[in-house]
Amino acid sequence: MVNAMLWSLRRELWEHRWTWLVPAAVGCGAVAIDTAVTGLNVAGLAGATHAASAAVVGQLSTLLDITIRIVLITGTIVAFVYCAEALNGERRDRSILFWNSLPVGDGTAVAAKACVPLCVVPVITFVVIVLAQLATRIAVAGHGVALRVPLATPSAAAAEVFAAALWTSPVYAWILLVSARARRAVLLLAFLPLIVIAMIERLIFGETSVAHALFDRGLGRYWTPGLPLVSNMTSWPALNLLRSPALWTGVILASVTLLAVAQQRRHIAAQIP
Amino acid sequence: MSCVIARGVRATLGGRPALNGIDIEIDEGRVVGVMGLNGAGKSTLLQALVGLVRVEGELRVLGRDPWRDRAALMRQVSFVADVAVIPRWLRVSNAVEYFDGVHPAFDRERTSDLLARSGIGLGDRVGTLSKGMIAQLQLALALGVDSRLLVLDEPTLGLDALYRKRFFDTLLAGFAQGGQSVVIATHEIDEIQHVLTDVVFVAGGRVVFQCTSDELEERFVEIHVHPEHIDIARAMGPLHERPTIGGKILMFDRGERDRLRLLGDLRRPSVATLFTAIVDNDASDSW
Repeated sequence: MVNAMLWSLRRELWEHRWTWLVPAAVGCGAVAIDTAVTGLNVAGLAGATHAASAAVVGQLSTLLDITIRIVLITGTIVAFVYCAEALNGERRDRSILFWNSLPVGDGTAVAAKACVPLCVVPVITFVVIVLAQLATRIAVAGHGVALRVPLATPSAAAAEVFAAALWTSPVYAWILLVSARARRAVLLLAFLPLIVIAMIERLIFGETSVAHALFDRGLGRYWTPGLPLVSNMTSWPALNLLRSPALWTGVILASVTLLAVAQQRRHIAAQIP
Repeated sequence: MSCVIARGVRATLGGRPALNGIDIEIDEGRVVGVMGLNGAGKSTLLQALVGLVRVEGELRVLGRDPWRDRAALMRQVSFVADVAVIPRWLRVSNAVEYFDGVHPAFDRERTSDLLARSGIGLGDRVGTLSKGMIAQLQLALALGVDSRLLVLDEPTLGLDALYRKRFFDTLLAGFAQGGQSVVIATHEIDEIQHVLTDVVFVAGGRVVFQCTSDELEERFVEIHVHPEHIDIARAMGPLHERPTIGGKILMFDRGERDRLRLLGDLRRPSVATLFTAIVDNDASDSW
């Protein structure tokens, strides 16, 4: 079963090359820009006043923080789009009849699909983050500049990307379920009911807890308007998340949803004309 | 020993009945041709055999429940659908690697050999291959599996005559080596009539006719009757009649051959002709 799952994961990556190409390309582009800007600015710091240097260092730290957030947000968006396509694509091009002609169970196939947003995309994201930090450190080397580096160690970066993937896992599983059922417009059908619920809550009860929860489980973790960027990403932000019951409740919910996805996948072939 | 046993098999697709009580038993080593009009239930029946469609009633394939044990069953069964189901982005090498990776009974060398004979390169992408070559690719993958049952659902749909012939030649060569059971649904059943051991006609989600090829030869006969003899021939109870140039062609089931010979030359009807006759007559379970 493990063998079948690894091969199934491999075929997901053959089919959806963009799941690793897009985060890698966007991440490398952002890192290149960040490194170039950092390199140019630190070169001009020699002879600058202390106050001017501190201001530049602050700006460069923020730039690095934004770069890393771009990498993380790109990974999350890619994972959303992948989940929308994963099962719907098999139905659309009828290739599920081909894949199901092999001794691979629906549970195994769905587990392989879930591995893309939960393992593959985080691994790519992690590599790009480490690359960004390495490039920045090389750019400032020899200038006596110490930037505040978000997710400063590889372990902190690894913890962040995988904890964030687990945190978002209920949303991934939900999109996979909609992907298995819907014939088109998967992302719209996945998010529309949630948005409608959020609007009803806002209109009737004057509350925004559903909207906040939805945003927080999606891109909100890396996009917090009004909060200083570097401050909440410098050390180990994932530790609090990993300790929270909300994360593990979400993981259980995601697991149950994935079982439903596997059940749903069984019926796709019968619905193909 | 039976490799397929179906008793009272029913299935509903999209709220409409697709199988209405299929009863069929296929012994090991048989080559069964399944024929039916579009929407008759052939594909649903074949997909049910490989666990893609949930059915009611009793259905056992190689002793297993296909729906419940699909993954385990597919270790012993090869399934080929029409050429449209193989994804266009897939490279031939990827397909071979994947089969080799997930299928314990896959013979990579055999498939590579079949691919080489078909002129299909391992670096080719499916989207760049012609329909005929895609069909050959699917067949090469299926024949690479040392399976006990080969299920083919309209594998030559949309192919021209030359590619159909190549496909069936490859299939028969592979079958001769393996000795598996084969269930094949095709509209071009006449092209493989000579190798079929059994024929099954499906209409309205039911098996309306089934018999062995030997029985087919013994039971059915066709005769071209001139207009002046038509009343005599009709009095002998033909199964079906159709017009032709200079008279009519009448088909008889268990007809009196000696008497019929007096009216014209007898010949064995093709499976497709027999199918048309039976479906035209809206044959019932009495067949």
